[in-house]
Amino acid sequence: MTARLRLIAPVLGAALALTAAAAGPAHADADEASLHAEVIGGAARIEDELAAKTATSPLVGVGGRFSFARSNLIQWEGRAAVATASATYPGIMIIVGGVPRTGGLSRRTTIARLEVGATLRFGVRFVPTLHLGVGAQARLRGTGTLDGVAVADGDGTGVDLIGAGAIGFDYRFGPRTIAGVSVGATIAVPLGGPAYQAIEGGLHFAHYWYPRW
Amino acid sequence: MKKWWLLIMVAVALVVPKAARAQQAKEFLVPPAGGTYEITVHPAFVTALSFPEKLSPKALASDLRDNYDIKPNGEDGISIRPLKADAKPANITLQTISGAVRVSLTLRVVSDTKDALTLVSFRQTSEDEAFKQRVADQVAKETAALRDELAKAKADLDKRIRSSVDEVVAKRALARLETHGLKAVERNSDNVIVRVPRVVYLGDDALLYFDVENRDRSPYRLAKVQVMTNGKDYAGAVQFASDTATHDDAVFGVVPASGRGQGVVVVRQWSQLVGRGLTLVVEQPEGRGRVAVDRIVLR
Repeated sequence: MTARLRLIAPVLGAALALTAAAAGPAHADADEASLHAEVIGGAARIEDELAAKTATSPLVGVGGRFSFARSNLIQWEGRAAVATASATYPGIMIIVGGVPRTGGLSRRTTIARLEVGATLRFGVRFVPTLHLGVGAQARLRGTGTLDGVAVADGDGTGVDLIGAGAIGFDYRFGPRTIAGVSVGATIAVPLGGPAYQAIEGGLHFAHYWYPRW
Repeated sequence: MKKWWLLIMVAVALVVPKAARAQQAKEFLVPPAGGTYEITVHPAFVTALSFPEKLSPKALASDLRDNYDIKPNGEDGISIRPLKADAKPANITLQTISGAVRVSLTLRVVSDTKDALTLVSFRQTSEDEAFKQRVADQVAKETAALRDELAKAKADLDKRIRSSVDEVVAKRALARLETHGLKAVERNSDNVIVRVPRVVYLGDDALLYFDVENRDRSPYRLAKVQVMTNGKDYAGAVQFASDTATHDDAVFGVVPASGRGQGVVVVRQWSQLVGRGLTLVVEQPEGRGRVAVDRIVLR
């Protein structure tokens, strides 16, 4: 829990500061819809059944997002993403074929995530953003390796409930095109599996239009 | 103390009747052959007649008794005052002692003091000058009548226009009056968003409502509104309202930065355009800030 708080605190602090700084007239783009393509990078802290401590590893992924703004402030969103991270847990001792082995256990984790949420948008051409979302992710824990030997224990598939928050900055190039960056945190509540948290940065390009629903 | 005096003076001024407030003087040019003139009189006034020389004692008059008080006013004049408001018209003929000025006067009592003459003078003149004077008098009389008529017509004009407009609107409303919602919206690169939220069908006309939301940092000066289809503009009259007033006749209105404005453009004979995709185009002067809202369909 302490580790989670350490991840969340700076994000929430920055988000609150951003919200306070942007207080004033709403500046979102009501009635606009958008499709985003995202590249995700960051770091994930992943627990493993065979390790006493969590490990942090680089995380990369891609995603897509659909949004629609009904009001002048809030943009509702649905998001899908896949990402992967390979964590190494040092000092693991396991017995393989009756032979004890000690070393670093490496395991690749791949996630597929679905999320719904809202983004507050505080600008017109230059757009500071604050995103909050909830959802679920499927986490595929791959076969681990220790000194080149495959370790079957600990692999499998699990499902997490997730909560995500991010702050960002978008720039509108024209009526249709927006690009932006964001940084945030994702907290997973595993449904029976090991713990997972991530700090993620993203770069996205978006096409905006008026669907006239 | 001075204030009390002022109050008393004002009170007196208000209470005292405004008698003799409009005394009229008139000069008649008398040709060599003499002339006939109407003298309007009022019981409240003494009307003085003045001649260029002594009056002859020979004067002819209709029955003036009990109706008019006529007295000499020096050797070259007389004064006349009707004795009652309903005195009948009377006639009196006068001439100067040399016979150069001969006049026949008709006395007529008027009810309004403004119409009464108080000082009348007669001057000998040529036939030509007298004719010109008569023409000038007649022109002045007819001009005054026309001026009165024009003033009255002007006063009625607004009522007539309003009445005509009401009739037209009522007639069209009887033919068709419906409001249909639309969802047309578009923006430009300057972050000016134009929405077309509804159309009102009023008889043969369609009133296309549009909103301009200006999210730019500069005011948006709406100078041109078009309703286009197949390269032809069907826009009629345009009305636009926003928070910012402008006296510039070259623009319909100005939407301030971060402000909004609402307008209506009339599309005449909408039935010709049913089912065709219309595009509402708004622009600033010189074509700047163009926003084209397409896919507007009238049903």
